[in-house]
Amino acid sequence: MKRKKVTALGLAAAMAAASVMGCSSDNASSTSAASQNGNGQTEAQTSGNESAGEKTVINIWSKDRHDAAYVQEKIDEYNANNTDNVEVVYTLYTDNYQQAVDMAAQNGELPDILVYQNTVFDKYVGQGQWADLYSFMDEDMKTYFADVITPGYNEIDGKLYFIPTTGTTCRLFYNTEIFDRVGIDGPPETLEEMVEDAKLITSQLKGEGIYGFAENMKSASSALERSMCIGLQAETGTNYGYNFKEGKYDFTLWAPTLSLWKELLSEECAFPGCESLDIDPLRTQFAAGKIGMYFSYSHAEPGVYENQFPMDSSKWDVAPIPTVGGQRLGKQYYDGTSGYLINAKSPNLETAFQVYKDIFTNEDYLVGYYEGGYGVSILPSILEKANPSEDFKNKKWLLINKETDALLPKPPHAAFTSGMIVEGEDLYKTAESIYYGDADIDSTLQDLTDRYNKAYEDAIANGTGWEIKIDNYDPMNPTLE
Amino acid sequence: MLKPVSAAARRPHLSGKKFWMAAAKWVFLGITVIFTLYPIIYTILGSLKTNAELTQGGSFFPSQWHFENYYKAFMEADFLQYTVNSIIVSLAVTLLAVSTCSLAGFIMARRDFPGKKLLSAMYLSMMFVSLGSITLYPIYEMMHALNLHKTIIALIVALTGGQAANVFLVMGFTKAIPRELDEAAIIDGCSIYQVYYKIVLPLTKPILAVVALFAFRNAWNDYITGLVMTITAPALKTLTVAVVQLKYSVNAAAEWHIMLAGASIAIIPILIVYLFANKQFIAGLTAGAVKG
Amino acid sequence: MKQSSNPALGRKKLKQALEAYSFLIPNLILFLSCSIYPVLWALKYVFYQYGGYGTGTPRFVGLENLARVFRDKVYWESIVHTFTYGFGKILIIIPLAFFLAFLLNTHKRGHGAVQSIIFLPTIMSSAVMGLVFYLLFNAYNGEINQYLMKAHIISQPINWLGKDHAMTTLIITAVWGGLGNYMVYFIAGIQQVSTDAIESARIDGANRLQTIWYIMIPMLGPILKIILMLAITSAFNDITNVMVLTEGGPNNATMVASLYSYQYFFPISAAQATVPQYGYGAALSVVTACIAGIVTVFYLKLSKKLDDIY
Repeated sequence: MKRKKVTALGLAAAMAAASVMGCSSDNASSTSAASQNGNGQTEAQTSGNESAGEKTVINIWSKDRHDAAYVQEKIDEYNANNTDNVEVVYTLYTDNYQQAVDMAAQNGELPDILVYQNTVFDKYVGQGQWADLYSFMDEDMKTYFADVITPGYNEIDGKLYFIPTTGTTCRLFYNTEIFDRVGIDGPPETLEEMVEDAKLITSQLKGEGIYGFAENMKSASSALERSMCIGLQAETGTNYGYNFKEGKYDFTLWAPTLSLWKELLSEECAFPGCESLDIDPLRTQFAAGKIGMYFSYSHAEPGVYENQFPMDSSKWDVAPIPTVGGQRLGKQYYDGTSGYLINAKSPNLETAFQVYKDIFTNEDYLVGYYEGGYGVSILPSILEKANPSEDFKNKKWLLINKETDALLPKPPHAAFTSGMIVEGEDLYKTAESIYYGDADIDSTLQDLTDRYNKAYEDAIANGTGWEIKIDNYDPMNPTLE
Repeated sequence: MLKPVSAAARRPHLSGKKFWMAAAKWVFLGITVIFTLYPIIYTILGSLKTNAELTQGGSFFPSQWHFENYYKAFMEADFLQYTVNSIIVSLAVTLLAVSTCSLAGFIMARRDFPGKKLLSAMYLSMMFVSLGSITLYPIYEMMHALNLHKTIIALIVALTGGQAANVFLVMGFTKAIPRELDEAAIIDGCSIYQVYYKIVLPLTKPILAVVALFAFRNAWNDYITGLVMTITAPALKTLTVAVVQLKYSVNAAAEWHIMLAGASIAIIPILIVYLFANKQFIAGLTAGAVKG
Repeated sequence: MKQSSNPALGRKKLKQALEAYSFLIPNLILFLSCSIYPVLWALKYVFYQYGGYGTGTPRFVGLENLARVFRDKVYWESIVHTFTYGFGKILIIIPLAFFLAFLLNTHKRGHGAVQSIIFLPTIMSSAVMGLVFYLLFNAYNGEINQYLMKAHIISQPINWLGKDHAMTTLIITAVWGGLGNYMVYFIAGIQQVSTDAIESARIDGANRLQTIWYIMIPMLGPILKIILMLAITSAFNDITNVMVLTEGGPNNATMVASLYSYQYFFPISAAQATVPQYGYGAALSVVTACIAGIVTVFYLKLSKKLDDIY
């Protein structure tokens, strides 16, 4: 079955690769490549010398479509040039990566290498599903990546499970042209200001179909994870409502933010149809100049507006997420990306590591990745060497900023994902019932707090979870353990 | 719709009141017909437009006919593979449904055997008890235990399902066939297998056609079963699953024309089947209490 | 004699039974594995907490899942939505289908063609058409809004899939998909009503409306009962178009019971992260099946009472 060829894909990937290298002279070609990669999942296999039957096949699964063409190109190169008789098969699961991993894990059919994703990692690290990279790494490699190894994050009990090479966090993206037209000087610094700006834009430009604010509210979790929840980390010093110092949830701190979000999403501010918007339609509308502001991940947007939905770089800019009254009690999270997990149960464990090392950790790859706009490097040596696109040079908030961004410890519901069963709606859907429903803010948040604390206590009592409490936790200077 | 005008025009002798009644009737039918056809026409005409023309709207017919949308869907979005999958799955389900129901329905109508009452009761209760799509999970687990979960067999079996209603349908139909026919054959020395094959099977063709038509329609149109059963085997996706997943593709927002081309590829075959068999579809619905 | 005939008879019976089972086996395999087993599976897991691989073995929790169902506010809202959806659909589709059947039941020129067209949606995939409706009803560039704005019926786009209108939109698409079915049921019913009764009523001086009201509808009673029954049970099972069109949102405005339990097994959409809770999901669907059963029984009782009145 797997041998079913997708010749067109190889062709289109090559075209996309060409456009990446040739400074994207041809938008159409990259679009078509993306379109087929994005079709749920696409199995691509390079045509190499398939006749050699005894080749070792290394399977790599990814969930990232924004860098798929680049990674595919590197894998093709590897397949064509490697002398170890290895064939790498790269599979992209965009819309159901987690689910595919769950089902494959259940059936013992995980691939040799998987792209890092935090829930996937958390869920199976306890079962010894992931290989300890230290056991394969030489000293050079250990020193090279020393900066991105953090105990409690990717190094647990002296074992290293993945090496992030790029990072992402969440920011406010805004259309500078629209701001100029209605006479707003710069990006809002407080959430109150942001609501005012959004109102101004919508009231003045509604006639032209231009609105102040939009977010991909179709899925509350997808929307809030890239916006409100992150702003709240900085604003309250808690992480998804969890106070590490006290070892308890407290969502009542969310009240001021939620009441402003309710305004942001009202007709006075928001793009019509926000409730049913996915992120990509939102981006097309932003690229078409119909949206004043939205929140998203810092790593993805530059590539999107460069290749997928072209938009002049001078027309948009980035700023930190505004908070209520500008209050900042803590840092906001950033997550390492472009890390790869190696399946400890792979029959070709050593080859898998070699493939991983050869493809994903060589300097050319890493420099090309950053320069191509697929992710912001967090490796000092790469940051020094690379010559990234203008976006990254001019828009400083696209980069991870150590003054505002940090790795944060995981709240219980993320640390033991399925061990903690929260009755009723999760925090995202509960927030939705406030900004799109008529739920009373204070009592609803109190109820949410109680439900999460109860689920947490139950998890500890049942032995499906454990206590998470950091006595000297300082939100401005977070520690992971 | 020109119908009301022409129908009325052909009968100038109608009295005033009757004329208006007829006109009102045809206006009403015309509106219903437009309501019904509009989404289908939108899909097919839209599949031949460019994305820009589609999202800007305003034009009914494409300003230029972009047949290459289909080429794109077939070649780049892999619809060729999914179409083949859909055809295989639908035909296999149809065959499996017809053959198993025909056999079971025949014997339920003609023979008594230990456990028949219990079986009837189980069939009947399964027609009314529905746990919905969650039952796909245990079926998936079972297929995995049999190591069939990455094959098209899993999807075919899950889609065919228990067929309780169809067994009853065939049973009812068979009961209406005079027993004297098979008794005479048995006296002539036919075995029960021969009775089934030579006598009853040909006579039950009309109801089997109904079973086949609806089994094919359901298999072709299914979404959720295909979605769940192909999660770990994306190469086995059927057309409907692939079409809906276009909604989540990278360029979903910029590719409405490809989405509509995909949708057309999924609906045109069944439209053609319907063109030839619409009478049977409609008759089939009324013939038995086929679930609607 | 007596001694030898009995085993022979027994052997014959055995042979006949074996023959019968040989006919049944192909269907029986399917029926037991795809119909009976999943129900037993669900009934077992109602009493367990189970999150799939990676979460440890299933944990026996007794009646906790069922108790949780009764505390689950969102679930009961989803039941309300199921009824809103079901009744909304029935209230539009039944009169409309009846009226169409009434207009189309005679063999006049054009009637057959119109019937075929109205029946057409029932053979279409509700998932694919859900996607098409998603494009048509899109707030910012869907064609429906564009037509309405061009015709100056509205000045601002209607948010068809927003919280206020999503259910209406869903019902519109359900009516589109189901109208043909019910029309055909009614045509079959009307054609069974003897024309004699109608003729004699006519001769007695009843006008058209009176004939419909006093002769046709009462005589349609039995078939109307079946049609309503089908409509009610199907409302509990419609899930595909909700899943594709609105995914249950926004803010659960279109979350129906079947979809709500489904999401504890599988994520509804790409954007949704789901931690499977198989035990609780099973409990939800068992309770839903019970509610559907109760509604059906209640309906049957009610329609019996109505029979007595007539």
